[in-house]
Amino acid sequence: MADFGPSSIASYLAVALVLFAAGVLAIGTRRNAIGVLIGIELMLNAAALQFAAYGRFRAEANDVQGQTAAVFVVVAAAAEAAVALALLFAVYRTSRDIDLEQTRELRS
Amino acid sequence: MSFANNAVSELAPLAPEACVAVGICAVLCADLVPALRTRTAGLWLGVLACAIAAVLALSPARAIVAQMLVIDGVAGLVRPVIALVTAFVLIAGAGERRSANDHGAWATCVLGIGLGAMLVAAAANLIVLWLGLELISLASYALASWRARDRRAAEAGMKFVLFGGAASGVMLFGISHVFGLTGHLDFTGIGAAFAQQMPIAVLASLLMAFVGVAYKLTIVPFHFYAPDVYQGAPALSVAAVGAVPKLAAGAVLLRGLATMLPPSLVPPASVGAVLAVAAMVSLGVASLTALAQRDAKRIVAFSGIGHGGTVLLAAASGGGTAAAASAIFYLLAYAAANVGALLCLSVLERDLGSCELAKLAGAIRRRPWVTVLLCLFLFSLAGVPPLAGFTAKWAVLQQALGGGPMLVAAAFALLASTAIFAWSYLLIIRAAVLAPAPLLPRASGVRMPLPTAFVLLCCAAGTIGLGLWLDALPAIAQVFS
Repeated sequence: MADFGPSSIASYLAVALVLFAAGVLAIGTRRNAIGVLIGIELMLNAAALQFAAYGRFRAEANDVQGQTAAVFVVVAAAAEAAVALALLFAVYRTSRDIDLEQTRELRS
Repeated sequence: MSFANNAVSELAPLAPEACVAVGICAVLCADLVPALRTRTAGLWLGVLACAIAAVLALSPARAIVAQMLVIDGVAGLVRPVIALVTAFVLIAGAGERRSANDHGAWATCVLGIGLGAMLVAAAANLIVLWLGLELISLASYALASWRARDRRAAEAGMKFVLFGGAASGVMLFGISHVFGLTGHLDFTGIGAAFAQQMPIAVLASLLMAFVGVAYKLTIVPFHFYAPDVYQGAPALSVAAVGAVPKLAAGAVLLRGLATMLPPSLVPPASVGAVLAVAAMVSLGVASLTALAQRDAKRIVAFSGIGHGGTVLLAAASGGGTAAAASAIFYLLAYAAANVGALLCLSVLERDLGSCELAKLAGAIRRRPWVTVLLCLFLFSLAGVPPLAGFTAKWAVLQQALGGGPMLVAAAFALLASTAIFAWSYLLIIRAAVLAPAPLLPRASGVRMPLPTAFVLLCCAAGTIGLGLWLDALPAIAQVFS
C-alpha cells in the first residue's frame, strides 16, 4: 500500500486519475455541450497535474521537462477552450440550443 | 554571440516552418489594411509563403533539432508536399466568392493547418507531436464551421471540437504516463527505455498516446466526427481538414513505429498483426457504411476512413523502407485525388446548392468538365488503373501479402473493401452523370474562376502522373534509405 501525503507521488497520481475519470464520465453522460467541454478540460488538467508530479518526483533533479510540458498544456487548453466556446456560441446562435440530443441535422 | 550563432545554425533546418509562420503573421497584418482586406491579397501572401516553404523544404539536408524534430527521409519528402497541398488549397480559395471579405482569416486557418502538419510530420517528441496536432485541430475546428449562420456548419464544428478535444485529452493523459514511466518524451529515449524492459503499463500508455494520431488518420473507432464534418463543412475547407493532416499523421506514425518499438523486444510481426486488425476493422466498417449514404461528401468521408485504414496496413507491413515508401506513396495519391474530388464537389455544391446525391442530378450538363474530372478523381480513389490510386493500392497489397497471416487477411479485406467502395463511388457518378434531371441551363453565365480551374488541372495531372510514374516507389524508397 502506497503511503499518501504531500511527499508521495501516489497521492498526486490518485488525484489526477480521479480528475481524468470525472472528465470521461462528464463526456459520456452530459447532454449539454458545455458539460462535455468541462469534461475535456478536466482530462487535460489531469494530464497537466500528472506531468508536474512526474517531473517533480523524478530522479534527475535539474531536468524540468515535466514542468515545461505542464505549462504548455495549460496554454494549449486555454486556446482550445476559447475556440470551443466560440463554436458553441455559433451553434447557439443558429439553433438556440446546445443540447447534443437536439442538434442532429447531419446524418446519413 | 556564439550561443546565438549556434541557435541559428541548429534551427536552420526549420526554415520552411518559420516561413509559413511568417506567412501567417503577414496575412494577419495584411488584414489590418482596409484596402487589402476586401481583396484576396492576404490569400496570395499565404500562397507565396507556402511556395517558398515548399522550395526550402526540398533541401536534402537531414538534421535532428534538439531531440524535438527530426528531418529524416520521411519528413524530407512529406514536408514539401504538405506545403504544396496547402498552397493549392489557398489558390482554390481565391476562386471562392465570399460575401464577408474573410479571405485573410480563412487563409490564416489553412496556413495554421499547414504549419501544424509540417511540425507533426517532423515530430520526434511526444509533446511536440501533441502541440502540432493541437495546432492542426484548432485551425480545423474554425474551418469546419466557416459559413456563418449555417446551422449544419455550426453543428459540424461543434461535433468536431468535442470529439477532437476528448481524443486530445486521452492522448495527453497517455503521454504523461509514458513520460512518468520511462522518463523520456523523445522517441529515441522512449525506444531506449523500452529496450531495457517493456512493462505492459507503458505499452498501454503508448496506445493512449496513439489515439490523437488515429483521430487525424480517421481510423475506426476514432472516425465518428468525419462524416458529419465532411457533410456540414464547406467542401473546400474539408479539402484542407481531410488530406493535409493525414499526410502528417502517416509520416509520424511511420517514425514512431520505427523508433519507439525496437524490433529486438517487440517482434515486428506482432505489432503488424495488431495494426492489421485495426486496418481491417476500418476498411470493413467504412466500406459497408458508405453504401448507406445519400450525400456525396459523406461517401468521400467514409472513403477517407478506408484510406486511413489502408495507410495503417502499409505501416503495419514491417519497418522497412519499401513499406514506408508504399505508405507515403499511398498518401500522395490520396491527397491529389481527395483534394481534386472535394474541389469538384465544392464547385457543384455552389451551383446546385448541395452535395446530396438527389441534388447532383444534371451536373454533367451544367458543369461538364468539372463532372468529368470528378469522375477521374473518384476512379483514382477507387483504384482504377492507370491512375495513382491503382498504383498505390497495388504497392500496399504487395507489402501486405509478403507479411504474416494477419497481414494477408488484411490484404484480402483491402481487396474486398475496394470493390464495395467502387460501388459507392459509382452511386455518385450515376447521380451526377446518368440520373435524369430537370433541364438545367448550362452554367455558361457563371464562368469557372481561373484559380479553381488551375488547381483542378494540377490535381488531375498529379493523379494521372503519379499513376504513370512507374519508378515512383523505388525512387521514394531511395529517399528514405
